[in-house]
Amino acid sequence: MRRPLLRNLVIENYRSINKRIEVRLDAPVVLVHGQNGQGKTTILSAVELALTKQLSALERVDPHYETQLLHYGTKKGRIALEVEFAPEDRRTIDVEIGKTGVFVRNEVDVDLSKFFAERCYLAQSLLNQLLTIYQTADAGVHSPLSRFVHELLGLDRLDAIELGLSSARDLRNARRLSPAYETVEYEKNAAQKKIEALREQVGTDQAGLREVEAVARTHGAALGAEIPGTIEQLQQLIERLQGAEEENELALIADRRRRLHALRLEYERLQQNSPVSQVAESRHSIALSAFNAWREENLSKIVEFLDAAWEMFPDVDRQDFGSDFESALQDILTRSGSENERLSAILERERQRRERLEALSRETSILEKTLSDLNGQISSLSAEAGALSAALAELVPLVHDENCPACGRDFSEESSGSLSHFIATRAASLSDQAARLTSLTTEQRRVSAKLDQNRAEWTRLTVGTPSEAQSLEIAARHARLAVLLDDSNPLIPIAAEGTKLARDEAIWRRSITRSQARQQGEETLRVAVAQLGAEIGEPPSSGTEPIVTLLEGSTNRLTRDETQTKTRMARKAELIKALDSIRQRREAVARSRAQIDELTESLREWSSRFRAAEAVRKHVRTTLGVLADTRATVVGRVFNERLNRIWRDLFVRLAPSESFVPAFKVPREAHLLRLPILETVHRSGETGGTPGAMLSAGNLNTAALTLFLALHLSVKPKLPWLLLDDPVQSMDDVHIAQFAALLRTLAREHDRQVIMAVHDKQLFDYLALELSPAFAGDELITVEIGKSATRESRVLNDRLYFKPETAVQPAA
Amino acid sequence: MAELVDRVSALLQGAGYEVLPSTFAVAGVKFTFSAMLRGKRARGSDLIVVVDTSMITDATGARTRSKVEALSRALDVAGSRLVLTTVLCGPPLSPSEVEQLARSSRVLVIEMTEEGRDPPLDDLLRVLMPLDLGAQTELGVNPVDELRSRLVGAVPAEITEPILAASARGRGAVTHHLKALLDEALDASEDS
Repeated sequence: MRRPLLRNLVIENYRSINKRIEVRLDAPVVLVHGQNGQGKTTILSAVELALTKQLSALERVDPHYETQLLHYGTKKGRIALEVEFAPEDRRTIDVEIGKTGVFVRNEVDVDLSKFFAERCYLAQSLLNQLLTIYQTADAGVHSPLSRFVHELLGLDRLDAIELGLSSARDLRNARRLSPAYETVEYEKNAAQKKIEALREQVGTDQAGLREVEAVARTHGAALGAEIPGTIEQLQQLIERLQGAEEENELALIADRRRRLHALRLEYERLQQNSPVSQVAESRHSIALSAFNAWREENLSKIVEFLDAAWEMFPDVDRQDFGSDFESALQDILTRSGSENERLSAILERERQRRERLEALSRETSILEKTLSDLNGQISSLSAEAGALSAALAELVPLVHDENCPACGRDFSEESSGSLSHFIATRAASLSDQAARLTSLTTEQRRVSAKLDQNRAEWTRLTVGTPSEAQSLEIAARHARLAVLLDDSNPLIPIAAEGTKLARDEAIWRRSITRSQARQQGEETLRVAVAQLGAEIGEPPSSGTEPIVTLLEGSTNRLTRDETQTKTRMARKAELIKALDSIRQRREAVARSRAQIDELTESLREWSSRFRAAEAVRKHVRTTLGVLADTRATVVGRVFNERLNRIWRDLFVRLAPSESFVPAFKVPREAHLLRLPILETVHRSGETGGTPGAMLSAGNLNTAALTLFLALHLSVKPKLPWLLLDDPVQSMDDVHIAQFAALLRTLAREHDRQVIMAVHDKQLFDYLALELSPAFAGDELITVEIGKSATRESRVLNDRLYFKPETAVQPAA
Repeated sequence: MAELVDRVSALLQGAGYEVLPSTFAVAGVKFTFSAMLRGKRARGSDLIVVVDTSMITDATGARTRSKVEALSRALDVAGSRLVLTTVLCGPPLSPSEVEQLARSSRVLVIEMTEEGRDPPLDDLLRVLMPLDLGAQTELGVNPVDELRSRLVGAVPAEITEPILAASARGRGAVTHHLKALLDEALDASEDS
């Protein structure tokens, strides 16, 4: 037999095994029979636990199965599996089972564990898994076939890598995974854009700069200044240009203009007087002599009259008139006239006053007389008449008979007639008296008042009466005035003439004076104008040009100077503007360039980060490419034509009349082999549909079983063992017979150690027969497992040896 | 169908079976079949009888069946542990007979209807044939090691190793590491 070799198995208190059993395993074939629940599966799972340290079927169901492995009611269990690795190398793998879990000593290498789990042990769960592979048509990543392949080949880690790295494949997903990507890309692009924009800006600024420099050079040339290179020098030039020379010049020009203007005004003023002339002279002397003549004749008369008149009017200011005799005379006449009127008025007023006083006096005597009359009448009347009358009147209604209410005497004794009538009459008479009294009193008062009035007026009028002397004075003045007025008449025309002559003379005299003044003035003016002209820069005057010409000349020169200065000023301003613009643009260009440099540095930084990330992505893509190839290789290493051939051989053994054989589709291009796909192949070579569609249920079972065996057989066996847990439960008899033959072939022709558990007794017996030792050295172990009457597990180990056959004899 | 029997016999001989006389005795009972063969060594317990069904007299094949049953019983009586296989060559017997026959022996049916449409003879007899596995391959390294060795030279190890290590913890761990790689590249300030 091939090594390694299973030799012996001891199980104590493990799962359904109650107490201890020992099973010999050192034969090419071991058949285990037991009813369900007696422990035959437990025997196989004990081997699994010892070799893999886990139970994969339970793992799926309960992650804490390790604590549930003890046989019910026990505290400690044990599994001891003896394995012969080489003739001198026998090891026992010891499994201690406790309440908290298992502990394995002398465990086997992990790759042996893996090989056992994947290729040696066909548990029920694995068989079911193999069956479900056919049940779905789905060939996708999550189909049972894919999961099976994955587990078998250990592809899960490749999957983890592929899925885990997938987001690096395309930039969008990479960005989502690492948001820094977007930031870096954004910054990179932003920096690039800014640099471009700045470069454009620099271009524009430089173009503008050249234009402005041209303008500046033009102005500079006109002003005699050169455009400097550095910004400092520019600044200095600007400051120099900003000096106020032109303003000062303009101020000076303005000042000179003002002075010129003043001189011009003076000139014009002088022009208003006529120039000195002979005519004026002669006219003056004529007027003068005329006036003198008149004076000689008339002056004294006039003066005399005026003196007398002024004596009468002392408030007249004689100086007001000077030589204007006419006016003086007129003045006197006017004053006289009004004085005359005034005096007349006063005299009339006096007269009227006297008249009135007389009238008043007469009136007063009459009134006094009347008053005394009244007084006499009043005194004779009783003042009480009225009151008495009223009282009596009130008595009347109270008198109902003739008895006097006062004294009580009978009135009829005194007089005939009624008392009441008497009283009434008396009352009436008294009342008349009272009335008369009233009217008299009223009259008295009136007269008295009038009298007072008269007296008052008398007093008033007598107050303002001038005295005798005063009146005489007035009359005298009045008379004198009359005389004056008379005297004045003949003098009026004389005075008029005199006045006129005096005026004429004065006019001509003044004219001459003014002309002389003008001449003088012109001379002075000429000097001043010439001086100013010299200041201004005019050529010196000869002394004979008209002043006007000099003035014009100076004015023009000033205007020219002013224009030039203003032009210069404007140009300077323009130049300053241009220089400032140059400075600004140069500064802007310098700034932009500095920024460009900064950004270029920054761009380099961002670009390098981006490149680094892209390098990572490239590596990832490479890795994924290699991974695809690796997967294809790994899958192809197993799921290839060779596997198909072996699988076919095994399948046909078990189902010789089935025309469709299951196989894995192997694509032409190896790298496309991601997941194997199941198909069927007709014996003619054509491909059919999936096995699920093409095979019967029984043959599907067969396909599953033979796939497991094919996988085992397609590789060099690290562990040449096949542990099969009741694999033929649902097989029909025909198949079972073929299967038994196959097992025999595997055990005998390919040195596999086969341990198989069955629950069916007939099947067990049949298999025991089929698998009987066929040659010397060949052995078969049968194991019957059950429980005693006390529920303790029991095994019956039986070993069969080769017996030479003698049954078939030649017939004679 | 003698030709068919010959072909079967020839095939089996080629596979290592020994031809026995077609008439033989078991437990004193004489049996005659069209052909008879016995396996050698590993197949030493195989006894094969070949029946030419075109030669049998009854249509159903009941006689054949009872003959084989008798042989089986005789072998039991003789205490033999030989395993019996019956190869039926020629026109088919009735299915119920075949079914019954199968209870006492393995049955292989060779029906040749037309050339070309039948399965090859060796397929029909495959269960008796030796199993040829061809050259067996090594199991190979595990996929991760395979991937690793292929990546050498193509991708720097400082990138591949952490990814391969992370894969043991699942795709999330791989993605997490990828993110770390990208973040590092994008945040780093060295020029590469």
